[in-house]
Amino acid sequence: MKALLTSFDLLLIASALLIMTAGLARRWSLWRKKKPASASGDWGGLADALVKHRDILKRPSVGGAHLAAFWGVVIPLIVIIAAQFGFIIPQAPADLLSLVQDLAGFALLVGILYLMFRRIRGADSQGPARTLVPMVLLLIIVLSGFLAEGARMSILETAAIPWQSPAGWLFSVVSPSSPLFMQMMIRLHFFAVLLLIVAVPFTFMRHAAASPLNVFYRKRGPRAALTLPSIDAGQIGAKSVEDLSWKQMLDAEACVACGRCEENCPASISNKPLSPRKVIRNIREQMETVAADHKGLRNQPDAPLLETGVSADEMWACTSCMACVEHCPICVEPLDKIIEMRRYQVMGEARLPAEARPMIRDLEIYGDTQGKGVAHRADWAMHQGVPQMSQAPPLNGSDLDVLLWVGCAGAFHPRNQETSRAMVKILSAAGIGFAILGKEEICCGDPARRIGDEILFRKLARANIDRLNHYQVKKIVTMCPHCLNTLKNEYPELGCNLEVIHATEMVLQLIRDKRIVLKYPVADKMVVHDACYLGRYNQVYQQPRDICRSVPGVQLEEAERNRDKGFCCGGGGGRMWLHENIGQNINVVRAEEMANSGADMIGAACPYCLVMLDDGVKSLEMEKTPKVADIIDIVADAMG
Amino acid sequence: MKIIVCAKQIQHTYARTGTLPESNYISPEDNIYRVDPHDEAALELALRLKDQREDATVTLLTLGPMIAETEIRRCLAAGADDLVRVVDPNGAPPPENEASASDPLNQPDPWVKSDLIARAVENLGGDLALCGKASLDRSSSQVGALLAHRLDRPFVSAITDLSMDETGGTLRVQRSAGRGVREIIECQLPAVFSVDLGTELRMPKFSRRQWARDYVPRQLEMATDSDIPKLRCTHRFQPRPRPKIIPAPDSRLHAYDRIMQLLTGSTIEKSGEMLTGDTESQVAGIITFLKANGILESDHADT
Ligand code: SF4
Ligand code: SF4
Repeated sequence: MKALLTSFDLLLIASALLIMTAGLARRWSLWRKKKPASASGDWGGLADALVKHRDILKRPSVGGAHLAAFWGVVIPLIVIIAAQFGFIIPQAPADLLSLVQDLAGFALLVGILYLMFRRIRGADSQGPARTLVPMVLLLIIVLSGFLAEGARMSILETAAIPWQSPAGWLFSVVSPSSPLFMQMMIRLHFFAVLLLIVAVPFTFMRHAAASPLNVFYRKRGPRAALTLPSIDAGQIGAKSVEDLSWKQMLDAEACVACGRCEENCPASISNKPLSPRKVIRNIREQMETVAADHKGLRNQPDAPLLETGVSADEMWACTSCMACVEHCPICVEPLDKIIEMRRYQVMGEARLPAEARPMIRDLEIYGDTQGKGVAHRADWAMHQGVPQMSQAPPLNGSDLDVLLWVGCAGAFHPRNQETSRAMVKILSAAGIGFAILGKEEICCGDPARRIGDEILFRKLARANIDRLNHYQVKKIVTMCPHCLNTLKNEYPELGCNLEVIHATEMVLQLIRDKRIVLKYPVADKMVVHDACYLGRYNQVYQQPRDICRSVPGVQLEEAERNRDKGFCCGGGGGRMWLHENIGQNINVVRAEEMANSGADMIGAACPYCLVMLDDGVKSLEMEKTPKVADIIDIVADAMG
Repeated sequence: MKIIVCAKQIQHTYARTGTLPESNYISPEDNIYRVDPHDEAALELALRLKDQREDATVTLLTLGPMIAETEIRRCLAAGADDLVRVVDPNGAPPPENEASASDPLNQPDPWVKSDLIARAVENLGGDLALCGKASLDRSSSQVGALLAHRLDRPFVSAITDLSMDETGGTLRVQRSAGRGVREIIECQLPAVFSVDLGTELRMPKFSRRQWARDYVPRQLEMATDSDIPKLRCTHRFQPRPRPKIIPAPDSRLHAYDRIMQLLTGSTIEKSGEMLTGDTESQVAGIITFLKANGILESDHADT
């Protein structure tokens, strides 16, 4: 590294950089000119991801190896580039720099060896393709570097172990003290570096360019809230990859196929054909095919359709649990692509699993998922003295603290109706001024939206927003996390900005303020099931647990997978209405896991989870199965 | 081949949650406006035929005011080629006449309706006319038969499936003959069928939805006054809301019997004793029974 570069070397470097840039530019043309997406750069997130490897380190071993390799490349690179300018630096810092350099190289060596070992051991056959080339190159680079350093040191024949360069000294033991060898090693090092630069666009090293870019442009704001397509402009989902926005394509380009999404995907875990990693890989493969088509390299008249890459079974297996989005270290979102594909299937092709059709039809004509109609929407509240917005005495802003949003499940499903009544009991006991929309409420639109029927979603949402505006509602509380997510995160795009909170958030506050008192024990050991739409979608993890803790005599257990790793109940994303014919039933898998925690009561905070887990628990073959209850019910019971 | 599907836009009352006796305890949100599901089934059968045969066209025909416009446009979007509205040339809200003015549902009688439809079908040159077996609001089940009569065509009621042979001359329909009995009937064109429930209308594709949204329905001017109404509905009574009583299972029975009781609709089999012998001994038997059950208390009865 001390040798300054000749002009020929400079030429080589320049051409390597040129090839790299050209290669990257060609890759980028796959997605660069595609449909626009609103995305803004996020320097903070990028710095977090690069410097601290925040998300990558969620898996400590391989994350650590990556961190080591990353810094093992970046530090020497900076030092060597700086060295070319021939700064005169005093001895002490120079020694320190040398030490850092040495240690960084060593970290790279260890990191790469670990990663290579993992790859060769081949536990993961689906792993990224073409990873071995850059790994071997990196290994050559670091070994030749150390050997050159070792040779230099054995030429100098230093007796003591130089503290500035311990690893180099180690290598000096094996390297001959020949200047020729040293020169050879330096050339090898240099050419390997050139090759690596050239290899960036064509091998797995591409991720070094695409992944940080993806983190930089990652989606911000409410997480996994679907974006509103402009339907009239023909955005009705993704038929082929060309219907995706550039950001969605960048996602596919950036994916390193690490498989973390798949390991947390309930569909993959329960042996369904869906794997978010495969979805992303298919998208990338199709991007490449489409690009080849445009260049006339292939003789295919039609651009390949997504449906040929991603089957119906795959796209309908998704529960929209967001685990894939949560666990991707580089902010790739397989979920929104699956929804885009569903949108095209449902709106463009009118292809929808037959089981879900009656539900959609009920939403169209009756405005609820059960087809009971708005006339019956307030039946659960009959003779309960539940104040309704439309009824006298008129509630104005001052009397009304909060609007209780009931949701279809809470209004019609017998199990969930109990929860609605329990919530009414809690709110009345706490002296909160609340009201329901009653017959004026219709489905928030979540089931339609997740299934892909954006037109229907809009129709429902607009009607609801009209009502909310009419009554000038400021704050909403709801028992249903799906309603919560839709009202809070997705209605703003339609121009409805309200404060929306989940029942557990509100109830916890009431308990803390001592406005309600929990007197009676309900269970000994409880375990909380994290609803996807409450936890991962809205970061409400702690409140349900705190509520359970404040019930007298409750000992709280944790399920094996909890909080952001929480396992879906299998009911989200419209799956509630679809048959589950392939693999295990997700709700049974989850129910078993919850039961194994040793609890005698499972607390759910979502009407879907409640029903799904209840079904799951019932089909367990166990001596004593836990009961499933909504946390709101538990609170109402504990109040006596 | 031209298929005409009659689609009736109805006000369907699915609930009775109102409080006022004058309104028959029906509040506005107890109604939905939709195309009659029988007619939707008819449309689906027509569309399936159209999928098989390239020369087939499907025309939707509707009478009366457009009270369920989104729904009828949805039907159009599902795959029909055009939508024809029968309107009164005199500008009166179609079709209005003496009878319909006093009709509780504000509809003309089936005789008048079938006349209008028959003339429309002839005007449009329809080879096959399909309509629903009945409608959810009036449920007279007459229009199909009367239409066939007026057009002098063969008629099959309550069909559930429809196909055509290769040559294109014969239609083969499946008919539900009640209590699960099915019939396969072959029929020559032109014909009139009425369609039973059971087939679900397909979902429309987006491109068709957009086309249907902007579609301007064709108007067919058809005067009604030539035909004198023959039927008149003078009253229409809503059912009185009655509380449903489900008897609790007899608690003295074993669990198995209780479950059986629930499953069989809680009819309890009657058991009794047959009295035999001459009249004297039968009377004596009755009196003994009544006494034994504490229904008769004194002995004075037999003196
Ligand atoms: S999408 Fe993310 S988590 Fe999944 S394989 Fe790709 S990089 Fe890994
Ligand atoms: S949202 Fe959940 S079910 Fe769907 S692909 Fe991602 S992890 Fe799998």
